[in-house]
Amino acid sequence: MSLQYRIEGSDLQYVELTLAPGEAAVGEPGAMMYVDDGVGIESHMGDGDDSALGSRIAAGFKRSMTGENFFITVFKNDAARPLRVAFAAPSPGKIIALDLASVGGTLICQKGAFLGGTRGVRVGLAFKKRVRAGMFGGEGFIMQRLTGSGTVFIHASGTLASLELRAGEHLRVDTGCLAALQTTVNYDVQYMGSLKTSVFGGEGLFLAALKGPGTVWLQSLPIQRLRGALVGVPQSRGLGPRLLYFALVIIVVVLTLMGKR
Amino acid sequence: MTEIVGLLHGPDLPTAGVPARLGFHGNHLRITRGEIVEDVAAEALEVGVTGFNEDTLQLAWQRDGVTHAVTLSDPQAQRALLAHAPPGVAARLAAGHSTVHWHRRKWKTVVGIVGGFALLLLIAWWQSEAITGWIANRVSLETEVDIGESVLEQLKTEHELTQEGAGAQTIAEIGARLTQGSRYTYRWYVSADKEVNAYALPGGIVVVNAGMIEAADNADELAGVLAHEVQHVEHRHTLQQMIHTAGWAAVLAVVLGDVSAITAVVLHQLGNLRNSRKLEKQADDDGMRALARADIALDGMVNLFRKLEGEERRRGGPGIPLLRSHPTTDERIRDLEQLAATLKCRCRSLGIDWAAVQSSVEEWRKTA
Repeated sequence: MSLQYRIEGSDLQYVELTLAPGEAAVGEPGAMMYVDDGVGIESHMGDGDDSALGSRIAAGFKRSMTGENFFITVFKNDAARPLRVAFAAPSPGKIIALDLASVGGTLICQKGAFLGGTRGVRVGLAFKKRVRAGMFGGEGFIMQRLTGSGTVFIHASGTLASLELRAGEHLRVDTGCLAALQTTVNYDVQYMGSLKTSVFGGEGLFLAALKGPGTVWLQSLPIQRLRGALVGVPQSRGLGPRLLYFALVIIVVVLTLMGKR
Repeated sequence: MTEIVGLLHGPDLPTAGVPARLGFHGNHLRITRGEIVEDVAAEALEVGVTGFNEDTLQLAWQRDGVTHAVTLSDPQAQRALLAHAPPGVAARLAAGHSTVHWHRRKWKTVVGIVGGFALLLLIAWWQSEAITGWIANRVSLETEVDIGESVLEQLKTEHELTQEGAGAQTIAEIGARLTQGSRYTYRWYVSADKEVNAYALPGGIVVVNAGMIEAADNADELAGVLAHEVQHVEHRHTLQQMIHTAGWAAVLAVVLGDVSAITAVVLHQLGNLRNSRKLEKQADDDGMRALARADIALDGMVNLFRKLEGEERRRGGPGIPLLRSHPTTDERIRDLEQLAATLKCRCRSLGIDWAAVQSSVEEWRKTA
């Protein structure tokens, strides 16, 4: 089931797959970089499997909710010899290949992380049910849940670090740096702890708090931060947005204090 | 014993964990992974919650200074483990399980409550007629009379009302024939208002404008109007409309018996009271039957409506208040005529000197 692949490049990467005769892979629309003649290219609604129309539409909606396309492109080797297809990363960063079986069959990633993989891998919705984590964890309420068997290629910006957490082990992560995690890992937010550090520490009011057991993948340069660096100016000027932000912050602090459970 | 499968996590195991069978044996948690069997004392177990959405139960213990753990994400497996736990660990396990349960259910609870409330509102809107009718029937006769009384007091400050004179007496006579055997004690008023209108207040107060008396050609026609208005009282229509328009605030006031608070609202509503067509039809039909029971000529009601409608058409646009609140249509008149044809009665014209009544009222109006 596992695909033959080769990841090329250092910071602007692409992955080249070698498809055995009859083998198929799926890729996000627009991710394809080059493909050998003889590989059939077809767009499918949903996850590219052969399920009923209704569930394909539902799958398409789930996909589009998680920052992917409603459609997926299936690349199938119709020839009698191995053929190549390559997917390129959409932004500076790293591509990692993961065997879903090695992470217990399910992986949760940030929105838009899925680049491609074995045909049959499903992109579902992982809804973060803890309000404070959804609002201030840096990943939003909706993340991707990749399920199935086979290989998936996920992309994250910057360099990807893979950290293993033992049972009960805690790790604090800057919001936005979380790229992927196993389902056994607990994900919450933690208040910075002091107003001074929150304001002048440069990391914001909250950190993402991760608790083992399981593996987490962290990205060194979240795309928002890259954008900020490229634009080179603060994103919000003027008092209005900042006041609003502080009002929001106060509300959240109160809510967090009240809702300690 | 049912098979409970969880994931075993340890320093020399893959981070995703490896499947292992779990079960309590005496005071020990037995973890079976292929050939390897491990027993952990229940007292040493630390119960925690983990997982992406706090939906996984975790039992951790220390060995050689290193944390080991089993995780259970399947709700059924969690319940099964809880059911077989020895007393020493059951309480802690139950606490952890209830946390997991809470996190799993909280969004469903929120959605359920919001959805339930929306559904309730929808039902209330859909069944508003039945609900207001039900509430109206819960209001005691005394309260109804009190409400009518306080509305009347406010009316008196705006218009001159009288129970004296030929007009009011004639109306009271006709009214007495129409309301025989009623549980209400009716009172009949003539108002100096020139608008062509008549209205009923809760508790049996009927007000006829001077303009209405002028517009009616004979006593039979006025009897038709009275018969209609009386039905609004008998069926508590005005009360229902009040409850409906004043909403739940008024409902509370009525239930609590506080009358004065809603009077202002009610008076405001009364001016442009729009009884639903269903209520109007009920008042029409039962009014017609009341006329038949009182042996009063049935054509007065129909004639008056037809005449007023014709006049309104001539004038163009909405003009006559009585018709504005009582939508007159050809269909309505046709229905009334059909009903009149089926009713048996020894109907006779009232034979009242209507011109004398009219001039009497007109005289009073000028002095009022």
